[in-house]
Amino acid sequence: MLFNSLEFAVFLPVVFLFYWFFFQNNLSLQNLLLLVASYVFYGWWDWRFLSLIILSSFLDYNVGLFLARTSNTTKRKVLLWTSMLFNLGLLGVFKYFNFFAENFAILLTNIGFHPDPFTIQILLPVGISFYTFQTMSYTIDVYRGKLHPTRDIIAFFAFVSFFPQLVAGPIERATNLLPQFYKKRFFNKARSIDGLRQILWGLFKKMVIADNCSTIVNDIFTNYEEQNGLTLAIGAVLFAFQIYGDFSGYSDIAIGTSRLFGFNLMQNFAFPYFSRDIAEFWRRWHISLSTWFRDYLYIPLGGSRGHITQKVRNTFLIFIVSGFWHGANWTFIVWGLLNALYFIPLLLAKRNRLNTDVVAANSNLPNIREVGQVMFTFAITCFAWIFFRATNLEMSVNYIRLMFVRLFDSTTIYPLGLLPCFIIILVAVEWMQRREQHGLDLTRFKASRTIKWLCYLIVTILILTFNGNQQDFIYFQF
Amino acid sequence: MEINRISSTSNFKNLTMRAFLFRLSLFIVILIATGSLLKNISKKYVSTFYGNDCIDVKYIEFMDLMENFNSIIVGSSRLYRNLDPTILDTTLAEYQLRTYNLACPATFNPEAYIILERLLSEIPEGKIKYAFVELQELDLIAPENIYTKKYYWLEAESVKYIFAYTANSQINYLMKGYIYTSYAAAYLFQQIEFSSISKLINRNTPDSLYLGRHGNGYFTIEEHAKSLPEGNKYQQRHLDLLKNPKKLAERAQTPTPSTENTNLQSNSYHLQYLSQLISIANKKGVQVIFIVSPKLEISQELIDTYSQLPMENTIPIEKYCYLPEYHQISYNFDVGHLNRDGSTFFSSAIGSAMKDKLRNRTY
Repeated sequence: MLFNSLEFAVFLPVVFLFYWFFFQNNLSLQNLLLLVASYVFYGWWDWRFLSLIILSSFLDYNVGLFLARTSNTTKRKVLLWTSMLFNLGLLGVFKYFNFFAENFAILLTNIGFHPDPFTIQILLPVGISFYTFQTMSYTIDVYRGKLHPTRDIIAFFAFVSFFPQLVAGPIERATNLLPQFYKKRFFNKARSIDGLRQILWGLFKKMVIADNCSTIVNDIFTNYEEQNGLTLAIGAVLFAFQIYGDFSGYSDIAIGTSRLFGFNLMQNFAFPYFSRDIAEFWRRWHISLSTWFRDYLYIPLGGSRGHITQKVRNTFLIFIVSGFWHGANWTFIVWGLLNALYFIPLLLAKRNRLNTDVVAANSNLPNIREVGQVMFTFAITCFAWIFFRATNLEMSVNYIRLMFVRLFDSTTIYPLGLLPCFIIILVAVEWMQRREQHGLDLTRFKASRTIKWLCYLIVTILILTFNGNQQDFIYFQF
Repeated sequence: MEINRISSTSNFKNLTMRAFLFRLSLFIVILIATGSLLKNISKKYVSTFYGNDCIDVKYIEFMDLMENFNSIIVGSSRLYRNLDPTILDTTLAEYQLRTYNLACPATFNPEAYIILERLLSEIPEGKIKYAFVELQELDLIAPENIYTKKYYWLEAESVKYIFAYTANSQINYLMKGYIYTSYAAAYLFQQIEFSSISKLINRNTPDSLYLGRHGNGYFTIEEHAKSLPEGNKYQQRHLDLLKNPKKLAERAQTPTPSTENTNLQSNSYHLQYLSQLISIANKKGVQVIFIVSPKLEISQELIDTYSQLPMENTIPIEKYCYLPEYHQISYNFDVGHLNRDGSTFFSSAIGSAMKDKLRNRTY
């Protein structure tokens, strides 16, 4: 079920009431309730998806236990690889099979053979890219000795399927989330209120920003050949806001919902469009995925140590894999490649860790230099998003070509209605809140309760009045 | 167990939980109150039918062009797409009918009746001679539509109508329970459904595509499909029918409710309401003619209600509704709608039946 749906609006309070009123003193029952609720939540899309997540959970639970029982290096490696191959195999079959089959057929055609590509008609289970990575982090951390394997099967299954973050992240580390299932949770009013604020802000970003952008973006990208360059540029910018609103909105709702149940999830977006360079952008965008690749792929490959060619190779690899994680299409790979090309000059010049604090940390407004840096980083990010949004490479290239060729053809732009106002509100609020955890984090806001409630009321009415046509969250397709 | 019992109540006695729940409830109450206020203010400045984009634009066009018409059609897409005013007027040429098709997609019972009532209150007496109104069962709310502007018309009076209609209906208790619950929920949600505010601020003009191309509100589904991008929902529905033509055969085999049912299952409240509607219309010189459109399932209750309406307000159903031609694939666009040829056939059948009625009238 979608977060912005009637079903979820009924589901959440019911689970909340059972959780805090009937099972509050029994940790096992609380975890069991979360597990059942999570399976109901996930099965709402398609009950058949449950079989895969249960299988993945069962396998990794047992791999964890077997890893604890043996100190034999070979056996431990075999166990680890069993888990990795199974989880990656699931991804391979459900997500990438047709991509490889079709491209293999194209390759064979180019060398003179003419096979019929064998493709499978298969439904991509929602969230598979997220929970497989989450369970792999468990087995890898157990293997590395960073985490004791759990014997509590309910807690483990609940950790894998935890409904707030199951289908679109954040991709939680077992070291962070799993121990929270062992500890008694107490209701905390301040945390719950802030959780509700975060949910509200997430809904604003998703329903007002992302859904309204998507209507216009879909039209521009579908009919891009008929648009002038300015409209195409606007289409790319709006997509940047759409994907940010959609994905960070979902993360905010996920984190806020978790806090209602006493769980703390990691921050997944830290106002990435205020980044001064691409390295900072990638420390602020989809943090759970980028840190996952850093810890489980980049660092084991040597990271940024070693020879320059090794550093460049590792960087390319990570960004390409990250692109490929998003989808079985060459456009995602090119998107990853482009980001690698943006990043490598900074890495080689040792400027990739220059901007680690928040922009304009000690002032209310950025200076001219910071404005330039932020605008430039945003522009190159928008350029890369064109590949992300386009359906194939040919379309991406044509889109970009037409955008530049027709840039000064006409000053007529696509009618945007009130969307620019909403985007201004988003940017203004997030700018003011750039030091906080989320846009409506008013914990340190020194204002009366009346003012705060007025803010909540305005945001809620904006959501209820200007929500766009309901769209699926973009990242559900991953 | 004792510990659990104490602890399950202790959370409610816990001040922080109580404070949290109290604040949340208070916020919701303030939201509903503020929202209702804003909504009621905004409704004064937007069109009456702001929640139905099709009616919104067609009603305005009709009122602007009222001088050109003396007859209207009100109902759902089954009349919007299937009842051609030109054919109707041609068949009834001796009666000098000039008909405007005010029907719209997804305009069901009671919204269609509300539109007719509004129209009757605004037109001068004697301006409209006939109102062809689709007789329908009560619309069942799909869960995904509960919180949409589609139910903009849902006010206290209409909720009363729906509850009374349902109480007098012959449907089973489960279905009645669903209707009561879904409409109650829809009514509550309408208090925080702010599309009227959005419309007031956006000032978007309704899509004139709904007006069709004939100047009389009629718009065939083929024309609509052609005017949208490739792969649109209408084309998809058409392809679905071509892939599964047996759906029409199933429809042909569905027994049609008898028009001579002695064990009457009519809805007495619906009947009473329709009688009042007829009376209001008569005062404006409008003769209401109720039509049952051919579709997949027609309930016995509907036909029995139809049978009990005054003769002057109905046309014999066998003459236009229960005809085997409606199940031919050559007359259908999708499972729910006739194509242009089917519409011509249906319109001619209604026109002929109406002509017979007017020529042989004994009332």
